[in-house]
Amino acid sequence: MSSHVMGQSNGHLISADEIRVTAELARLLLPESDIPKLSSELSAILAYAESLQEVDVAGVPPMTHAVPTQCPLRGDVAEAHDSTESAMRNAPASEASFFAVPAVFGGGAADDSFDGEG
Amino acid sequence: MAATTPVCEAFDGIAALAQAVRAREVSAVEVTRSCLERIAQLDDQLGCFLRVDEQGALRQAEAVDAKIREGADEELLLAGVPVGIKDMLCTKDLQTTAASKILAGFVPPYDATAVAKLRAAGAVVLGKLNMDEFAMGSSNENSALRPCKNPWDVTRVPGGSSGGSAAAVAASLCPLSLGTDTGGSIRQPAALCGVTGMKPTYGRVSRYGVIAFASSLDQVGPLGRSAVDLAQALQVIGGHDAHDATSLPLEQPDYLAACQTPIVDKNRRLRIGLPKEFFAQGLDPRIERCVRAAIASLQQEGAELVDVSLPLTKHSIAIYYLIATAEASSNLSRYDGVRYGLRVTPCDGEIGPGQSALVEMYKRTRAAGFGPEVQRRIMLGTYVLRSGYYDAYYRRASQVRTLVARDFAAAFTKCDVLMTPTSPVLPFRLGERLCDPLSMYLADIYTISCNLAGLPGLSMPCGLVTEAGSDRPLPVGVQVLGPPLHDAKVLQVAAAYQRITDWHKQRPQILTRPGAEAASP
Repeated sequence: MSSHVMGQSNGHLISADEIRVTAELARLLLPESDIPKLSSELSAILAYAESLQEVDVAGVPPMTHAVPTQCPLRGDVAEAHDSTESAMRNAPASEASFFAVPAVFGGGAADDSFDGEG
Repeated sequence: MAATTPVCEAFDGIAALAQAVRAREVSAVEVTRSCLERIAQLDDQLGCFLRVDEQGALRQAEAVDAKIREGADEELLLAGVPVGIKDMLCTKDLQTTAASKILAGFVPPYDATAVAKLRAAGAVVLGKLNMDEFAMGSSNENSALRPCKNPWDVTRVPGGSSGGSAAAVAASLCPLSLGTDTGGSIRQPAALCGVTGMKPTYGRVSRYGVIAFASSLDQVGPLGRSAVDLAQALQVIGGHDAHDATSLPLEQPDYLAACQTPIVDKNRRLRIGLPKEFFAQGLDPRIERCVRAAIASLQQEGAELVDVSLPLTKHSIAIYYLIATAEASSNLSRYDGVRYGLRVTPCDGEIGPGQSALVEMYKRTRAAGFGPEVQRRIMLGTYVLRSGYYDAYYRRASQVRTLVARDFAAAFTKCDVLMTPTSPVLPFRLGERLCDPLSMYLADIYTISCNLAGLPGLSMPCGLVTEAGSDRPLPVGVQVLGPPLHDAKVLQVAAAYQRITDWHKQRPQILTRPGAEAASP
C-alpha cells in the first residue's frame, strides 16, 4: 500500500502534481490558478474519510445492491430500437451517420469537419 | 399579487382527482390549465421549473380526456394528474439537462421508464424541475441554470438535490413530482419544503432513462402531499423493467391497501426503533422536539418504542463521498462533446506538439460544461479510483458499506421501522453553506445511510418552527426507514401518522388564497 494514501491522517495533502495528473485522467482542463484551492478541498475530504481506515473489514465482501440478485441474462434476440437518425439528432457535429470529431492523433485540423476518410 | 388556487387542491388526494377526471366532473385540460396558470403566476419568484411544456401538457391532457370519452380509461389510475419531473429523468422530445450546461439542448429520443409509466396511467407531464447539477448538492444552489427558493421563505434554500420537485409540490404548482435520491435528494428537500417524499428500496423503480450519478445508490421516487398519494404513485412507477439490470424482478405489494392497515391489531403492535446516533450532537433541538412529538403520537396509537444503535453511522458520509464520487467520475465520462450537448473545440494555436485535438476538445468541453461542485466530485472520484488507491478507498468504502447494511439488519430484528429526523438543520439561507463543501455534505448525515443499505425511506412533515425575529414558519421533517423491500410498511406507518395529524396539510402562508384563513399549525 502506498504510504501516500495511508497513514498521514493530519493534513494529508494531495500535491499540485497529483492534482494535475488526476485532471488529465479526468479529461478536465484545469487552470493552474485553481490547483491550490482544489488541492486543499480534496485533501480535507480525504482526511475526513481517513476514519474508514479504523474499521476492521477483514473478510467482509463489498456491497453494491440491497437485495442479493443474480446478474440477469436475456435472450440473444434482435429487438426494435430507435432509428440511427434519432440517435444522431443531438450530435454537436455529424456527417452522414457518423459523429464527427477533431483529429484523434496530433494537432491537425482542429475543426469538426469530417474529411471522408477513416 | 393574488395567485389562483389550482383545481387539484379541491380534491383529497390524487386518486380522488383522477376519479373525478374519469367521471368527467372535471376535465384533464381544466386541471392542467389551472396548474399552468399558477406556475405562470408564481414560478418567476420560486424557480421550481427549468422548463414548462405548456403545449405538450395540454396535448397530453386532451388525449386523456379523449380516452375517457371513448371509455378507454380503465388503466388510467392517474387520469389528469399533473406531474413535474426532475430534470434528471429523460422525457421524450422535451429537453433534459440535469441542470447542467454540458447537456444544454439535449432532447431525449425516449422517456425514462418511470415517466413512460406515469404517462400510460394518464398523468400529465407539466415540465422539468430544477435541481442541483447532476444531483450533486443539498441546497439546489448548484443548479447551473437558475436558483430555486423555498416557498416557505424565499430567502432560504429548498434543499436538494430534488429542490424543484419539493418546492413545486409545496407551492401547489403540481400535486405530484418525481425526484431521484442518491444520498437523501428526495427526503431532505421534502423535509425542508414540508412535503412527503419517498426513496423506495433500491431496485424497486427502474433507473432506465435516468441520468446516472452513482449507479449503486441512485433511486427514483415520488414527492407529494401525503403517504397515500405516494403509495398511488409508487404503484404506477414501480415494478420490474428488463431495461434496468438492477431492477428487482418482483411483484409489487398493494401499497394503497397497506396505507389503510392499522399499525396495531390484536395480535401485534408496531415496533418503532429509535437509533440513538440519529438524536446526537448537531441536531437542532427544535427539530428534535417535533420529531419526538411525532413518535410519541404514534406511541399513543399503540406503537411500541425500542432503543436501537447503529454504531457505523459516523462513517456513512465518508463511505458515501468515496463511493458516490467514484461512480460519478465513471458515469460522467460520457459527457465529452461527441454525441450530445456542449462541445468546445480548441483553436489551432491551442494544440501543442504531441497533443491530440480530440483530447483537447474533451478537456475544454468538460471544463466549460461542468460546474465547480461537479468538477470537484469528478476529481475526487477519479483520484480514489486511480491505480494503487482503489483498494484503500473504493473497495474499503464498499466493505464498510456492507457493515452498515448489517447494522441495519441487526436493528430490524428488534423493530419494524426506524424513525429519525430527516435533516439536522432547518432550511438554511441561500449562500450560507456554499463556501465549505464538507459542511454542506454533513447536512446529509441522517439520509445517506439509507442509500448505502438500499432501504426504503420516507420523509414527511411533523411540525413548523419559527425562528426568532422571523414571521415565517419553517417545516420540519421526520424520516421513516424500513428493511429492504418493506416499502409498504414505511407507507403504512406514514399514512397512520397522517391520519392523526395534519402537518402534511399545511401550506406556506405567502401562497395561500387571499381572503382564506392563513394556514396555522
